[in-house]
Amino acid sequence: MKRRDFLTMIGAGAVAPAVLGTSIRALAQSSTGAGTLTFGQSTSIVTLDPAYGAFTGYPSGYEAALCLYDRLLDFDAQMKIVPQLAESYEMAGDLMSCKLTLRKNVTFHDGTTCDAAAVKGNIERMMDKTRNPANRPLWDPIAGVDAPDAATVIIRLRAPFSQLPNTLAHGSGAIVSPAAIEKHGDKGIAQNPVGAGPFKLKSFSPGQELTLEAFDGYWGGPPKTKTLIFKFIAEPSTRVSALRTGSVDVIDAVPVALVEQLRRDANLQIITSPGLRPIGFAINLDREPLKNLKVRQALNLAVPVETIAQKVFFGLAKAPDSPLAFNTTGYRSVSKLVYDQVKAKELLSEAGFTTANPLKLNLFVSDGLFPGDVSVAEIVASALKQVGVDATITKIERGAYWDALRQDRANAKWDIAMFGFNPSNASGLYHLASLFKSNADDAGRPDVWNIGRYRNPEVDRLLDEADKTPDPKRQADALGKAQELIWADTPYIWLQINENVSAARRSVAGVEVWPIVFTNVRRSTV
Amino acid sequence: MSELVLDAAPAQPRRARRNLFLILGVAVLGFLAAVATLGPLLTPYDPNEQDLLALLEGPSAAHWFGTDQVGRDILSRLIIGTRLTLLIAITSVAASGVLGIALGLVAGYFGGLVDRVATALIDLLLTIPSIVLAIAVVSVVGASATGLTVAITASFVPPLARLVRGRVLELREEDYVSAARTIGMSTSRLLLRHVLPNAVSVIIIELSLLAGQAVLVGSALGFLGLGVQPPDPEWGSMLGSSREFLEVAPHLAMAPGLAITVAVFGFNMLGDGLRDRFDPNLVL
Amino acid sequence: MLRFIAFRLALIPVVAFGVITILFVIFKSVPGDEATMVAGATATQAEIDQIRVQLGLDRPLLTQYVVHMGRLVTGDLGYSSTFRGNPLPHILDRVPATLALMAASILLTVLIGIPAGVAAAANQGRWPDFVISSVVIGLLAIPNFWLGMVLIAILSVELNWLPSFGATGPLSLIMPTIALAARLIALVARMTRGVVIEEMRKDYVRTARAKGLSANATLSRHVLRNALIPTVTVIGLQAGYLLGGSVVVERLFAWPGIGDLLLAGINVRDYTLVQGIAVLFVAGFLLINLIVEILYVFINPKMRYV
Repeated sequence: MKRRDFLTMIGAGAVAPAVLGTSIRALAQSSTGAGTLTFGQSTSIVTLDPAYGAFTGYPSGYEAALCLYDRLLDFDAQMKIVPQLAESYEMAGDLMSCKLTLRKNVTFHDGTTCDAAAVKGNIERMMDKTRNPANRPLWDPIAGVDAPDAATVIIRLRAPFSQLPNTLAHGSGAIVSPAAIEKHGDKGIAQNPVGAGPFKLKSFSPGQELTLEAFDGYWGGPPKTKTLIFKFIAEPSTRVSALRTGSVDVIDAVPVALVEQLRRDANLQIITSPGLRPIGFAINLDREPLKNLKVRQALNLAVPVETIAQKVFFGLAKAPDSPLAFNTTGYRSVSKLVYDQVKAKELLSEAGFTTANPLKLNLFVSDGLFPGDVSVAEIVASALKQVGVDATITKIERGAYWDALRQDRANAKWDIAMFGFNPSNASGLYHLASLFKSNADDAGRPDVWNIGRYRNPEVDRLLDEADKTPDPKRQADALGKAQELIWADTPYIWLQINENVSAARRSVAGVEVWPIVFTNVRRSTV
Repeated sequence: MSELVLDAAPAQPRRARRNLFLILGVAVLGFLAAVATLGPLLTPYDPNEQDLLALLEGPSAAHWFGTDQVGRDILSRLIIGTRLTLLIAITSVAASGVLGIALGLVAGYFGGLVDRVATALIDLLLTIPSIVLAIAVVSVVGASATGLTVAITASFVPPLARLVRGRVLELREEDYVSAARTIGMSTSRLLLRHVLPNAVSVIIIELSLLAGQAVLVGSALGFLGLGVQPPDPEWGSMLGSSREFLEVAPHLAMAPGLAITVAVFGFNMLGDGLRDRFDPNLVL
Repeated sequence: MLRFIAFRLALIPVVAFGVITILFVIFKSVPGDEATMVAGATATQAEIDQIRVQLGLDRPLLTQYVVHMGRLVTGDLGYSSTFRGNPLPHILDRVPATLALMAASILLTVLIGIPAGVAAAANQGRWPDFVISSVVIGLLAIPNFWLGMVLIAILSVELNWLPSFGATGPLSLIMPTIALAARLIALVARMTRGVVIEEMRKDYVRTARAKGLSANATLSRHVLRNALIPTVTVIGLQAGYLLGGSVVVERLFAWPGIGDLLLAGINVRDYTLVQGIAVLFVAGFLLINLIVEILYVFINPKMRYV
């Protein structure tokens, strides 16, 4: 045999198994045969345990968890709290405890029973700071849990906590099979999730692909879709082309630039929902010039938010009129944002800054954490330049961004930083408390997300009131007043609230896009 | 060693081809240098001026190469980007030249333990693909024009040092070197006045080719988002941010890529032409 | 021969050791560490400190280094914040995809590069040579990620012939392979052309022609075999390019290989992951070079290692 042929043979021999293997695997999966729904996600799923950091990545892990696990309570597509594993619940008048009556005859994927003891074990697991270091504001208020009988659970709180139902409906409220924890170990659940949801685990390639299959023993009856496949597709345009060719049936995070094109495709449907995540530039209130309210107002006046919403986001975003998004619980409209560069220049020159002697700011932004982040940052920097503010953009890698923002006082290097918070339990109180409640110690790291070190004792008092009052009207009032105060204080350069845009093939029904950026395929059929 | 081009050139290259390469290379690079120098005088618009009502527009009379995702004129950005790209490429090649020559000279001439340690280090670094090394350095130094330059320099020093060392090893055995030593010439004078000049032709050719590589590596890093900070118009970063609009506005990706290709072509032509001219039998 | 191979294989861990040390130095020279990344976005300072102790990041650097090396020997790469544990199995999961891409690229290079070089040499000075040489020059200047984007724009967006993402079967391998292999094809074609021209001038060729052997027979039997050596050399030398290029190409095409994973790791400062993959790249580089030298033996029996 000629040596050249020999070499060629070796080459082919090397390639063939790899390619064939890949293609066979791909063929086996991309067969969107009846009953298989494939979801191309923008972030990858790495862990599937509500504890130990909760489901990573975000939101993909949560989206998968919504199908794998049941929680005591659930959200419907309008973010109202509805029963799931708990048939009914009752918050005590003083908001110090909650009694839940569990559904009967619920089994986990491994066959064990989901009863009050199982629920108790789960809540205690989530209460434990070492095992569940994330989402603490949701779980810290819980003092203990009792299971007087197999179908009753009583949760006791440290202090009045009106948002308990939101915690139980939150993704991290997923109920895991205690037997599975025994079997796989406390840390093994991340790769071997066993819940009581309509789908159970078939195979998991962390960071790449997750396959779930229908759980016939589901209390609500087996789901119509037989197989759910979650695929990680980082690139937006590749996600879109995958949807177009049919290799996936649903995608999330559709680039707004493509929406028009996609709408014209008869095989596809665009599914949007108003977002719950107002995005803006947090202002570092430690910096001298930024302590001046007029300067902050000027910053806001300089930015053409309407144009950004219309042009950069092709109309799929709205300028906010309150620190909360439009359909968060407790939202109250305060006032519209104004675009007035002349007034902005005036206010700034009063403070001593002009285009000749500009205010120098460090602008932090990341790449891919928020929609259009770099483009918007560039637009804002350019707009600010025209009124006498020189903003230098520093792009921080995704992984280091949160840390860069949440530094202690001495190390916070940013003056304005893009940020947006998604209250994944849809609670306006949770949102405002996370961002605007005074930090315990402003010299150290912020408690939650009050990265700008905002401090307003009246706002603190109102938030406290809302937290402790069982009367929904008083709660709404307190929250409303808090929003007005925060809006007037202008601790942010407010930008926009993006719509959540997902897309699916027309043959798919039942895809819910929740305002908290979750695309829920639990009830979808293909 | 991955970027050193191995080529058994034909025994007698035709003079026409050699001259053609040189002429092309110098012409292209001259044009780019002119654009880089004249930069701001040539741009029809301010490269950072955003026209929010004209996003992602294709080429037109008003904007010869169209506008980008925040309404900036692509042609203007390309022109200013020339300066950035050339500056980064030339600086990193110059820096790696100095460092590589120093390292190679020392290792090659002194031999012994110094040589062994240096060679071990160089060979070790050579096993890491240059892009990977550059990415690692950028992630540590930070993404900026300086960071890019440092990263590219770091990935070019090993192959350059190796090349110089090899040449020095050859030259060390030459008669005139031992002659100079016998008459008591100091080492540094010997190195600088006699050894180095004879290694120069090889070094210059390699540097020209490395400059092309520098543009490629630099723009690759920019493409990956590890390049300069926004809104600086570096070509690779422009390509990187055009990716998400490939479906709706493919024109965004065409111009910067073409620019990179032209720059690399220029440097490659220069290097090839020089190589053919200096030593047609040279095998690198 | 076997002893030679064994020696070179044994060298790999030694080199890996050296590379890991270099990377350790590079990554530890940055202020800040992975504790904050692992602890998560909403951790308090106390929690971060606790994690720092858990991960052993508060110990003196030398201790960390020794512990780290010790763990590596057992296959434990350390704690990766992306995978929440030892990333090794996840990395190995993705290796086949990168291997497929590289193997396909080498195959394409051999299939196109060598014939192109031969064709150019056989027609030296005439228009096929001119065309091929021009294409070669072009391909050497085009950045592979741009070539990929152009291919996507034409073949995927415009014509819809090929899928533009991920590993979905043999069709999806085509564009990434072309993008990655283009530079190699150019180098091999140029090399082959040069060598063939060189060989054709040699005495034994003239003798063969004088004896009446046709041009083709002469070419295929003697000249090509000699042309293979530098070709294989080029591929060996460009191993670094192949590995490094896969990083960019995989990112562009969302190809699920280790190059893409490396970038993901860099983006979240998961140095454990980055270092693990870098070591794999180094091992790959050394293996390719080893294979090249083994192939030398087959191609040219005159090169023997005693």
